[in-house]
Amino acid sequence: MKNKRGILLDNVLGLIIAAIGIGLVIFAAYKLYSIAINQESENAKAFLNSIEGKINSMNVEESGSFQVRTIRDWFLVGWGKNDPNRIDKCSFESCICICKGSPSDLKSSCQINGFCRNFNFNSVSVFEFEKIAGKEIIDSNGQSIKEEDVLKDILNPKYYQRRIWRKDGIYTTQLLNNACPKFYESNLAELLIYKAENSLAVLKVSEREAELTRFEGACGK
Amino acid sequence: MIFSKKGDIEVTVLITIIIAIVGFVIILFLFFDFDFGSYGEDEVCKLSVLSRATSPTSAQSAIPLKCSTKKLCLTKDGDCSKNFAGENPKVVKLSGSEDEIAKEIAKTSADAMLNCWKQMGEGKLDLFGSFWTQSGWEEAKPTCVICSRIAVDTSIGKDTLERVDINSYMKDNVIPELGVNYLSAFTGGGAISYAQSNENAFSKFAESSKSNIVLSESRENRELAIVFFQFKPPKYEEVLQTMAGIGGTVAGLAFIRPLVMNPVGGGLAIAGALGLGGYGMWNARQGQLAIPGYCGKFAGSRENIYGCSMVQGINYHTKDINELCPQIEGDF
Repeated sequence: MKNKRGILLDNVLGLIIAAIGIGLVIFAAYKLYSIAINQESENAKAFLNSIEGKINSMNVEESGSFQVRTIRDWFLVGWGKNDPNRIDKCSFESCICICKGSPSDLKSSCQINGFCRNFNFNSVSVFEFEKIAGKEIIDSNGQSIKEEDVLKDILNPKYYQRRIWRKDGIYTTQLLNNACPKFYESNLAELLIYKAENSLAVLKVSEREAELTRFEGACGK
Repeated sequence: MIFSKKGDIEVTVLITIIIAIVGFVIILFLFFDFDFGSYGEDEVCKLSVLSRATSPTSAQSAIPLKCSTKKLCLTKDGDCSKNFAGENPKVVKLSGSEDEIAKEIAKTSADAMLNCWKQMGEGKLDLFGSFWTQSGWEEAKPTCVICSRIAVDTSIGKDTLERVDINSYMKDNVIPELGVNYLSAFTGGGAISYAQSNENAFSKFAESSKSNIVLSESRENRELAIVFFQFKPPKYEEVLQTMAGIGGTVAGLAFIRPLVMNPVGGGLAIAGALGLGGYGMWNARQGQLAIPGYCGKFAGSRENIYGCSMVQGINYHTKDINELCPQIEGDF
């Protein structure tokens, strides 16, 4: 029969070893999680650097189509110099940000969990442009138009400021969705970028089978 | 016996505990304070591939794949600024006749494909398992790693690009170190393994005629992505095994036991287990059904395939890449 000291030592030692073991498992899990999160953040910064480089390499009045790697569950948003809802991170300049979380709560998704790059444009517009598979883009007069024209129209105050993007608006078969372009998978996306003298338009182009019936609020506005 | 009669710890036990703790600390130190910066990109990638492959399938997605996409610019005197603006490509200057440059482009692409294949374990390693697919909660999807992006600068003419034939190069040329041609080097990986380059590589986008995009740049393709692809959905028995493990663990929890040890709780638990099991089997079946679509054309007459790994050279274009790769892993 063990004496009291032996029983106490036996239990205490077991408890200590168990506590150390559990602590190590939790520590390892936490480390793995933080490595994964860090990789995601690094990719988000690389994504923004790539966009910034492409915008800076473009001439004024030039547009370009770029293939970019996306990050699942992150979204893109932009603010001009005079946008009142611009987040503090952008300070006094226009900016484009990639953020994680919900576009409806930009404060926490972008200010806390986002990365931004500043630009010198009065107006920055970031949109998602959803094409209807197999259909041409037609304006309200029934004329076929190019994606490049859509891109330029975004910067037209007549359309943009009055926010008349709607089903029966200028684009009858292809629609502009004002919601922040969200990336639902980590794969590739096509971005159309148009750089004007004082304004910048970024369009994420995607394709869907049927027409949109619902529109969300303006992205970041 | 751990304790002597007096209640003291036996010397051998004490030594074993000390050695175990010291060993644990050394492993932790190596694992978490490992200086990845002192290693090259390739070594870091290989290490992360091996770490994944040796981890339990359910935990693989939690281990980051530290493989970065290599960016190569092939040029006479340019810098591929249209392709790599904002990125840092390695610029390779090419010179010689049109045929020589075309052959050099094909060689660079074939070497990149071989390097990608080797880094990713030559199709012998399963890299993209996750707890959610392994337990039937999610349907398995093919996963890719973009090993390289190879861009040909506009200083190299269209005529030269049209002469590039990567598939013929891989068939006709022997790798000196291995003594076999490129295509032979891609086989023998246990699972179905295959390598090929898109027939339209470095030519116009296949869909350009249907597209009404007319931007300032012409739509000819000057960029190729070397992609490692793997699709190995879990088998039914693997899903069942994982589910049984989870079910057993949950049911065995002390605070759950009183709930399931009565007729109502037990009935509900059985119904829940059957429902979840059915859902898991349905997801596993969706994965199995998708195999022929992705791997079938490479499997030939082989039946009962459980997945495939391959390296592909594809135009670096959203539609082409996303069609093959619903999800892409690795660093940008």
